[in-house]
Amino acid sequence: MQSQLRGLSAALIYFVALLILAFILAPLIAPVIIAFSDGIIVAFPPQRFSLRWFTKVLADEEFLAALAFSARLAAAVTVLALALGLPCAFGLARRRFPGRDAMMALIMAPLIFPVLVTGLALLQFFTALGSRNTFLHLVIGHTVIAIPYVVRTAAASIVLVDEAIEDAARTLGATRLCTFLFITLPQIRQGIIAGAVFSFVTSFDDYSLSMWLADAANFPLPLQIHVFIQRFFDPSVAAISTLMILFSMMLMLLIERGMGLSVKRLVTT
Amino acid sequence: MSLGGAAQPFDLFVKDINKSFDGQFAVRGVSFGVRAGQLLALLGPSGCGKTTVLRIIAGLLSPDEGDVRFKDRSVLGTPVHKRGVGILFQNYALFPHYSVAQNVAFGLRMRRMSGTETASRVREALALVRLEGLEERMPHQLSGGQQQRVALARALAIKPLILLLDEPFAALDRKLREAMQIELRALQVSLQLTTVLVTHDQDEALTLADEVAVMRDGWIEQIGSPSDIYARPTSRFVADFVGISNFFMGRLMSGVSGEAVVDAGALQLKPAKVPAEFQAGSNVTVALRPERLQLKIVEPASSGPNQVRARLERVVYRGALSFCHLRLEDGRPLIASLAAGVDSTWISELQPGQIFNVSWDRAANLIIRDESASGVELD
Repeated sequence: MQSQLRGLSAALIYFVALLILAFILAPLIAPVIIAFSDGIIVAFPPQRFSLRWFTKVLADEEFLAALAFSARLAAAVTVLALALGLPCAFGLARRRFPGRDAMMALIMAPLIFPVLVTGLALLQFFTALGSRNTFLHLVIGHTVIAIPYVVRTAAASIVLVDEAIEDAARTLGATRLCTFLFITLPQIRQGIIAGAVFSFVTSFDDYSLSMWLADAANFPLPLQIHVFIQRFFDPSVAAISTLMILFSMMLMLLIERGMGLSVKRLVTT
Repeated sequence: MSLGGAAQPFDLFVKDINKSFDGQFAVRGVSFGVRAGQLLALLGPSGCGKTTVLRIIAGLLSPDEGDVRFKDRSVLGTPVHKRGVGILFQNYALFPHYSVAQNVAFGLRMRRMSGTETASRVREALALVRLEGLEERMPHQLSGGQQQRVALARALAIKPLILLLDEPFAALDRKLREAMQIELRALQVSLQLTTVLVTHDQDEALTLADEVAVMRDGWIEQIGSPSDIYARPTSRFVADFVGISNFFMGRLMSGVSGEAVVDAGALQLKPAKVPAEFQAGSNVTVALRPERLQLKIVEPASSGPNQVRARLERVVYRGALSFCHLRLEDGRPLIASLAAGVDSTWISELQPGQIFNVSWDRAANLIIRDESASGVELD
């Protein structure tokens, strides 16, 4: 499938890849280094190193509350996005029906539609409804922007499953449920895990939508970090950022472990 | 055909099946029976409805009308997972995340069979297809032939009432295909499995089947033993689809001595017998198999029924057979075949441009149904 790259073209590709990597990662390295500094103001490069800002952050009740809230919110969003996105992915991947392309475009729309506008629209919508359940508003809002990821990754793995394999399972005595659990699910597991992780991260990371929908009792972490930045000039915000980078890396590792080689398959399809 | 007659009951009976998709008929009025331990082949071009019939038998599709009976009991109300059919799919449809042993055991697991019994049944099934020792392999580690054996073992492990084969050899290369065909047939005969084979390959159907049903546009055009189908096709479609045929259209006449003659322009065809459905004076089509034609250099050419003068245009060498493409004086084409062992001296002497007297015996003239000639479209 792929041929080995050699000579000049290989060198060029490696060079460009490194450049892109540096472009993406360089801004992230600064807060990580600052997070370990011993000083009380943000200075780069730091003079001495310590873990004191991590200790401070991890003892901060506001931070812990926001963290817990965001985790709870992201978990609820993930469950809902999977519950809605999986059947949708099956329909789009397996069936041909009129308006299929339009439906696909509609589901993918939140990816390109400005989230800020989506958030404002949702706020007006919920206000018009007279609803006051802020947590529910956040869950619904985040699910809207998380579903495209679930549908995309799940549909990509569903189309790879040969339907004859499911037919074979059924003729061998498996009910539809057993066929799904023992035959289909193991083959699309990677796509589902990837979709779940993307959903979780999308919600956990969201600022633009939460900005409109949150209130004081339902205050996600990204908003809290913004408050911290305005309030303090010490490196504790850098420590929070470092913790979040660490968390994202753990999630990436989870996908990598759960999916192995199929990450490549998913990316190339 | 009587349903479930005491002498030779049908293990499988398909009765007047109709099925349409989006208003288009896929299968119409299909009926056939398969006796215990027999293999019936559904033969036809792609899109003729043969796979739809197979899926209806398996329960993966339900017919709009008609009945499917296993051992004289309707199974239309039985869902696919309880029908007890084994299917061998064209692409084998192995479970990619299961090992060979787990694939074969799947049907038994679904039947909640005990571990020890499952293990012995898996061993037994893998022994039948000669795959012992590969239990722990994953499907992607196997060759195409081995994958097919696993699929077959998986279908056999559940001791199916009916075995269904959906173009099972299409993905194999020729040598392996022929070996697998012989092996499968031997297994099917020794296990006395009532089997339906779906194929578009006439050789496969003739090699494997006890009975062949030739399908076209959703219905069965002709059903009979392989030799019936080949030697006595009843329609132009069958004569054309199974083997090679020459076709001549003409008017059916009563000859001087009361014997039937087909007047087809420059040539007269005198058949050995005329099916009752054709009446004197009507237009008929006669099919002639290439191997029934004899070539002779005769000068001057004699005239009479069942012979004609033709010019050799080219010879297509095909190993055991050589096909001579000839043209009659009025421009109609004619194909004759010569067998390598029998006519070998001939074949080396053939020269394009030679004029031959082509003759054949009366039994070679097959009067057949021909919708294209009579203008009556059955659609």
